[in-house]
Amino acid sequence: MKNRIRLYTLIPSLFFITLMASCSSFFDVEPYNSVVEDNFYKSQKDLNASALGMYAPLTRDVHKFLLWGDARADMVTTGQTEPMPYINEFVINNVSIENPFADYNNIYETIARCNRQMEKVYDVTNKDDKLLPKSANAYYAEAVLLRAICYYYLVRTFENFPIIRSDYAEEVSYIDEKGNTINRKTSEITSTELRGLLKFPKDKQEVWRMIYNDVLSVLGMLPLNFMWNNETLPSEERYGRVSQPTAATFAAEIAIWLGEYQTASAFCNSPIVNNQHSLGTAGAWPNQFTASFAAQHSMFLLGFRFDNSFETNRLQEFTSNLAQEGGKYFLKPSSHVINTIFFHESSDVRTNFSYKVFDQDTIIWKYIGLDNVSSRRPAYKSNASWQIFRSADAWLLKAIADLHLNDYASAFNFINMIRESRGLVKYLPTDIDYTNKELMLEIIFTERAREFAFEGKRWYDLMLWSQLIGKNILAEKVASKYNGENRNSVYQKLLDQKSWYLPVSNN
Amino acid sequence: MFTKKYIISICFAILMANSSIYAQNIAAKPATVDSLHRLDIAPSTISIVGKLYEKPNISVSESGNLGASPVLMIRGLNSINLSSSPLIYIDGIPMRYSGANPTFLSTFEPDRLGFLNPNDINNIQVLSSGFEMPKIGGRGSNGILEIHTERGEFGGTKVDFISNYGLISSNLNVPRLDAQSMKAYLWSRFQEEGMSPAQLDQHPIFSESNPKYNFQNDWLNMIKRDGVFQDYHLKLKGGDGDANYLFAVGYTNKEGLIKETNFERIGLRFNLDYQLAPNISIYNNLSYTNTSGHYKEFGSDYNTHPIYIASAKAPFLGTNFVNADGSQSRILASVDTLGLSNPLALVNNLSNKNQFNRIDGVMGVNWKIRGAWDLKSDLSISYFNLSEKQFRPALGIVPDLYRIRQNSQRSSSEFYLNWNGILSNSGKLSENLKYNTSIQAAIETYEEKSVFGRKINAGTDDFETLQQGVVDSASNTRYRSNLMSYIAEGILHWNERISLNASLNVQGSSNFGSNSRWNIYPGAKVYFYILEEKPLNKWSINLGYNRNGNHEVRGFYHFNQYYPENYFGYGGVYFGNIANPSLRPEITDNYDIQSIITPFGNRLQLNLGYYFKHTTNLITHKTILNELGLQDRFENAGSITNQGLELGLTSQIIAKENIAWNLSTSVSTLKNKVTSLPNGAIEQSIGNITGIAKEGEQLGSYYGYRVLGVFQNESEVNLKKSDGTVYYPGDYVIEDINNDGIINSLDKQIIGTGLPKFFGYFSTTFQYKNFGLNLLFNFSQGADIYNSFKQQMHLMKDFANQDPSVLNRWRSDDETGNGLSRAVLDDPSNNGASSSLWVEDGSYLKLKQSSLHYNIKGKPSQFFKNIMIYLSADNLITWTKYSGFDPEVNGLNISLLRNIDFGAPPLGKTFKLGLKTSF
Repeated sequence: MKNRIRLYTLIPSLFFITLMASCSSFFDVEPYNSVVEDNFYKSQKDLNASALGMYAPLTRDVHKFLLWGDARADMVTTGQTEPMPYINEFVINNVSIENPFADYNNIYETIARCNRQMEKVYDVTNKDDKLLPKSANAYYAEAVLLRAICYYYLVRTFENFPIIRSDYAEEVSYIDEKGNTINRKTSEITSTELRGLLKFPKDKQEVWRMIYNDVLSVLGMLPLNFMWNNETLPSEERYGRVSQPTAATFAAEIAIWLGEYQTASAFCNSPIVNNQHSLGTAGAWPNQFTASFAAQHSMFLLGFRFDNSFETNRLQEFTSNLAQEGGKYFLKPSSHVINTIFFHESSDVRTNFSYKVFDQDTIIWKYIGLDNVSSRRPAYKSNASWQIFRSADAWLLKAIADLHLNDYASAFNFINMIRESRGLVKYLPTDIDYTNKELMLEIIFTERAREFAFEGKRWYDLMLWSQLIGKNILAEKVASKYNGENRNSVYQKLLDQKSWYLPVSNN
Repeated sequence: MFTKKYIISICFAILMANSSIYAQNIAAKPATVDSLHRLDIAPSTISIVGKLYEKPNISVSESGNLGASPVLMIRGLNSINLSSSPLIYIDGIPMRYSGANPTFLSTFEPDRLGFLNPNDINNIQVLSSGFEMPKIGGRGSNGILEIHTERGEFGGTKVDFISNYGLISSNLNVPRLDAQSMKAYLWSRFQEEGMSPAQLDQHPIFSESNPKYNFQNDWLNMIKRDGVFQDYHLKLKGGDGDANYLFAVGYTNKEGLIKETNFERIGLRFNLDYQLAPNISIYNNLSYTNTSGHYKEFGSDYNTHPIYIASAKAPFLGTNFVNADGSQSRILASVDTLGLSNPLALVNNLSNKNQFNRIDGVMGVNWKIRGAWDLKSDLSISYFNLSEKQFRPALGIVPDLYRIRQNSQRSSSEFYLNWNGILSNSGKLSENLKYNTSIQAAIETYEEKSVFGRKINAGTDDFETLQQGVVDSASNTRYRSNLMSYIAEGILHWNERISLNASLNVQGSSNFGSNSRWNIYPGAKVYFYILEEKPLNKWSINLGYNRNGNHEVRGFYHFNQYYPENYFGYGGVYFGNIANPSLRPEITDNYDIQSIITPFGNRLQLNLGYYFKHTTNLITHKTILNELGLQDRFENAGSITNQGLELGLTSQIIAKENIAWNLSTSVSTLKNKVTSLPNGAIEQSIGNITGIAKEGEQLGSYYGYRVLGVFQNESEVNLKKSDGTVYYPGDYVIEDINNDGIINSLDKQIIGTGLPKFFGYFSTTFQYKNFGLNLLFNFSQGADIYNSFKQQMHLMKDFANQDPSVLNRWRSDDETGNGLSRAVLDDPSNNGASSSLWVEDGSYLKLKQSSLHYNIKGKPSQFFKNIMIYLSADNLITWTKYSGFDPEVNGLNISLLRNIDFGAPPLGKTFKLGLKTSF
């Protein structure tokens, strides 16, 4: 009898214990190494951290930017005797759909992060009452502008790509055939169906317009003096993040692509008169590459901090000729083209610094060198910044814009300002028929080639140049890189503007 | 040797000779052969895994990479992204077989069972499915190893002292060029790379007088040795009516075949059973073990792989720095002109250490409440700490990227708290119908922590600590998981003719969101005793079904999560996981049928079974459009099947007083197939080798190119590289699957499969008077091995020493060689891609263990009860076509990356002299 009583008290108590456990927060375990939704986007600091997170995917792609913008163009060729096939595909302008360097995933990752940021910025204003409205705007504008820069890379590089302008991570909203707006969970839509829902632009012009409008709409919202919520940004962040001068320079360039020279010229004034930006001195010019930035010169770049953070890119691997420092020598300057672009008659810092010749190897020096002589970055410490816009952009864009506004003197003047600041002698009006638009464009784009050599801009410059004079300069210039029968076949191929773009793999 | 025919004829002889054999009562559980005459000596493997070689239906693969976790497999592979190793229960304490942290070295997974001294073990059960342990629920799909340690026995104190001393040796030979032929090889290689005759003449390597380049060193010989195995174990056992106890203390030390590798274990255990009242007994376990290991990189990082570097190092180079006067300095030579580390520095100075500390404690109570009511409850606590350390100095060792020197340390710990309560009852429903039933509740909480730090580029090679240098990486993680299970179990027996067992486990885990947290794992099995009733049964059949899960998902994917990512040195954050609240455990349904024939009692037992396992809800990455720019998202999609026959035979052929002979064998077949993967094939790679999970194929097949030959001359070249440029004569001809004339990733195909078609063991024990002989054979048939080490010795992409066959490589249209490609620096044609050339048949038959013992019974007047002396040899003979060190390849416990041979040292032959004294 006694035992029975014990039994009847014991069983319930046994289950009571377990029940107790289940009632409490027994199953509420949260991850340790990440922040869950409820705990994020609560303050300005969260906004700032996710803003920095937007740039990170692009830093993984800078070697691709070099391939897209330079390996395909006339100033770069392969360094290896038996080149690596996927690199060589760019150099010989025959990029296949399987090429791992021809994917845009990281760009879209940045786009997604920008979209998320835009979605969340104004939620934070409700939670963090210290967040100033103008700061919230600035974060919003930063996301819009960075997204626009992503589309700017896409529109110039890829044949076909969708436009995504809102946060699709959790929900996709679209308008169905009947004209109703549908909201659906992303996880419930198959990828094939989703692809069908994505909006593909009908032409490049549409994308250019979209980018242009985005930039114009946020231009006034971005802080002029790198002030976010009354806090000044450290200098590295100033150049590692987009700014109002970036937006103005960027707007100027798009305006030129769109043929709006008047606005382009006006936008260029913003960085030109801004006292944070100037042409700087020739002596400081290499600092943009040897250090992570150079005051006055730098505007917007993708930065890599090595000390304590060990962020690196693959530019050293791609351009160095020394195996012991991790160099694969995938790419090197293409010699005969180099000789027609760089001058050796006077002390042009860009000619001296952009590339070097050691023994038999000509190498791109911008991502390897630590000075203008022969010091190299330590092995595997590839942290040279990737330049997206530099102050010099504004000056040379101004020259293009003014040339098209028939303000020849101004265009001529801006070219000379660049030349002089880099250690070259000025052109004299008597040397050059500066009212000859075609000649002046050649001079400007050659100047750009010197200024921005190996910074992933040449291919796009050749595109723009071709567009501006209505002649396929690109095919002509690029074909001149090759010898023998290749020259003609590449020329023929590039005559078709469709072949200017990379194919997109659909997986 | 026993031939197949011979074995079969013996079986027949036994079956026919029924007149001399009489039936005995057998237990309800499948009987095992009486172990009276078995010598149960501890294997020379350090962990109890060595004992699994003689267990049915489990595949074991261990290499001589001392302290590395052997690869186990019970009834196939059931998971791609989660664990595919069995769960271990040690006296009721659960333990994951493979750790969750990333490996410290490329492939070295520390053996988490190393803490358990095989001498402490009473028995190990290999449970093929979770049916036999309903409590396992969501962790049982890979099978279970249930281990029980020894306990005290009634009777006076008995002292057992075991001592083993052994030698481990292996010829460990890698075919390679000698000093002279390597110079000739380098001469031709430099020439091929464009060096002029004048430069070659001037090159110091070829100078006959330069003392730096005229050594004759056998590097491999300098780093290898014969290992010593020592094992001492003292066991005190005893008890009176109220209390039984066991106290054991053991020490094991095993040296590896490469210098400076060893494993050391010291542990003690105290198990106590105490009768509190006539109907209440309690039991306590307490054990502590400390193990430490020194190990080397024997994985995919060939730059620091001592065996590879010793094979690849030019024999004409010296071990020490050569002074200007030609004498050898006392300082070790640094990285040589050909770019290779000094093997002596790798062995003597680059050190990898680990240390385990584990404490287990169990306290339990058994209460016979009344009649047939029983209550059992136990509480167990386990704490497991692993500290790992690497010290990589600069002298003589190639830098790891910018890290010239590095010191890394990681400390990780696991904590389990586990409570079980089970109430059981048995009785009769009617005269013919008996029942057993129980309800059970279990709560488990688990916490895992790890801290990692690495400092680099200290000022000198002297600082073996984190005191100096720059912080290169520092991180910490923590993972918690709570588990709650309610289990109901019942058995109905009808007339000793039919038994029906059924169980139901309702289990909740904090690894999942509230929608999918609770899962139900049922199981049922019915036994038919066809010939004779259960106690005297001669033939029974059982049919079973049960469901298990795999719920070790650690990412908390049911939350929206933001992860850190740095940009320009500043802390950025991104939205990295989109919540999947419906993520569930992977589910494995196991169906089996088994026939057990015991015609002559426990003299002969023949088991024949078939199982079919169907795993669904595989946790895989959902395909997300690249354009959405999101990280992968996990979902339940995909399925795998495993099926096979399991055949077992045990017999006592002779069982007389002075002479006994037992035979035992087991064969399991395996057919594994990935039946669906809606999100597409999954690839995982290590080194350059890729394993793939692909619909319709075996899980973990090797994925690469099929080599058809070598382009003999320019006119034969009919394939292009992906960029459209042509291959060179001397490059491998790759099968162009899609016939587009271009070789790219679309031409990859399955080039081999790493799972055996069948595997098992055969063992025999023979005893005559005081002598005994044991033999154990293991076999595995049909598994391929990707011989990465061999490929490395034929790569010719740098100036390392290579296999002598490289002298017959393709050199020109006239010297087309014997099937090896041309040699080019950095391999621009990717001839070193993973290819069918390096896939070999890994089938083998191994004489795993053989031993001879002699027993001396103590007379009452003597101080001892019994002394047993034995001589044993492990891994004495291996029959295989495999060209590597050992077909038993110890890969990673990752289902897609099995059976890849990176040239870890073989197990080696171990000769042991042992003594077991009982007082």
